Amino acid sequence: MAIRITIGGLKKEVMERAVKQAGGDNVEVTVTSDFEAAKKIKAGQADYYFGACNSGGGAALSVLIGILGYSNCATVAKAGGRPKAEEIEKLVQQNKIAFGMAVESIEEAAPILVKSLLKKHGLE
Amino acid sequence: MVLKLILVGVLCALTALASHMGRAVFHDGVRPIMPEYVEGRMKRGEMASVAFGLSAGFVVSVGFAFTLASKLLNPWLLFLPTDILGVLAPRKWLAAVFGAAWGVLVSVAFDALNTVFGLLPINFLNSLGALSSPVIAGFALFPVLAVFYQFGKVRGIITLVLELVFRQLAAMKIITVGGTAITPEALEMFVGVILLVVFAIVKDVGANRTRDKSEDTGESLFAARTKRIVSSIPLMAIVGGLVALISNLQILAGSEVDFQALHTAYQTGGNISQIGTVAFADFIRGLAFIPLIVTTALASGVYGVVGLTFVYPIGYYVAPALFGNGMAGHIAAFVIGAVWISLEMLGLRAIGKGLENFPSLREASDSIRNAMNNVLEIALLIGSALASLGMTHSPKDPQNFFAFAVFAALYLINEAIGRPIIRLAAAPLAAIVTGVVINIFFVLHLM
Repeated sequence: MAIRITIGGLKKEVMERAVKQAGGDNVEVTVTSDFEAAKKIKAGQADYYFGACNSGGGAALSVLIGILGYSNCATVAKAGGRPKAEEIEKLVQQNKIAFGMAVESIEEAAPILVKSLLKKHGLE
Repeated sequence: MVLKLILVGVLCALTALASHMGRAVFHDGVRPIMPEYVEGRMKRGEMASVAFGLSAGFVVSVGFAFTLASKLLNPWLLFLPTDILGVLAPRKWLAAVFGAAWGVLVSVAFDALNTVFGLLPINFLNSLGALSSPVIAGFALFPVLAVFYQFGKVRGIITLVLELVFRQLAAMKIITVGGTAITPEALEMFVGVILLVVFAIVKDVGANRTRDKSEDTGESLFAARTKRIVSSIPLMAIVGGLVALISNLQILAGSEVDFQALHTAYQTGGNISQIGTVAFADFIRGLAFIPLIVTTALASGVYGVVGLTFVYPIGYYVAPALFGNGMAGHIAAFVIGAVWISLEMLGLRAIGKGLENFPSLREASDSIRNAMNNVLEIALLIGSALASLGMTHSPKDPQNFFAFAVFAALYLINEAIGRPIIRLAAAPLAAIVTGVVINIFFVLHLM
């Protein structure tokens, strides 16, 4: 079964493109808002959340942290740095659900993240 | 000057205290993590390091760049550090002392830096004024972009055409408010935002008819922590009043939308209708941030130190427009700011509930923030390039593109090394560094 990814935050159109390109048929993408996405995940209608903001840790995740709890959320790419594949892999293995990244690193971080998730779910 | 230091010091002491007590933080990303610390699941040191990690980049990039370019303090520079200092301090009084010290320190340091820049052989501060020119003009079109993102091409083009037509109707004084001209950009933004909101509400009203109303997870989620917000009102009213007051005293710029435009307006004597346009832009920006701030505040019980950000335009526009520029205006700024932020906090729950029923409005806020960001990135880049161009390029010396070349090199270096400084801040910062570089060349007789 495809993994269900919800997208919120800034530059959703870039995120959507990046995720679909990396995940193909193995991902089911819903573009929505952070709040709606959090509700979906809580209700079991979605598996993951990807969101972007300027810093990667701020607005991208704040609503998700409020609703899903801090321990379920992680920043995969901060502003001012390159995303690191090993670190993303580690966060995925820690069963994080909601991922935030800086808008300027979406194109780099989102594909790595999708690949890690697919690997985790044995969909590679 | 002394008054400025006292006010900024007191304000920063209070915001650090608010952060220490888990009552309010500036950073929208730190806010939802605060309950972990307030409720004891996260240690002080860990929370402080999280806050530092989220904020440090913004302080040195956005905070420094905007203040250097505009000579106005900004909330990233003042309040991100007080978020951190408040959490870091083990005692209340220490939090206040740290906060006050930071406020005084940055005020003095940036004043000194500006004085030094003013003494340099080639004065580049005046050129930096060029930064603001494209911003408001380009910015007025952000609703068009937002509609394109959210509602596609057809409605996007309709919005574009209507915005431009109304802009010209205002510019040609065909549309006026009781005979007084309206700033074209203000009407243009107004029309665009109204269209965006109408599109969003129409979509939701259609969807609400079919939607199952029972899925109200928000209620239980937010109930517990709303009380905490209400109990923070006395402290936050003073903070809100002070923020409005220092905006009113023209020492603080509130946002990426207003800083250059306010700088220019203050330099040229502060034309109130020009400032009104800026206030309107700030107001729309505030609207766009409502869902984010309200949701995080309701979910965490921790408010924002500047509330929903409307206290800025209250300070620099509403108060002087109603009560003039004198003492009455200053007092009004403080009072209206304090009352306003209290009302916000009392109304928070109701706003949260209202948003529940209109998910497209929530999405519209994302689209607006997205569009604003994209528009500002370009406007700041072009503005900074023009500012750099003006440093060595003059009618007397029309072929001198030296400063522009330095600027382009700096900006591109940032891109090449993986963009350690975000684009929004990179352009104005590059313009400032360019100013310093050409002065060094001048001193070395290489120019």
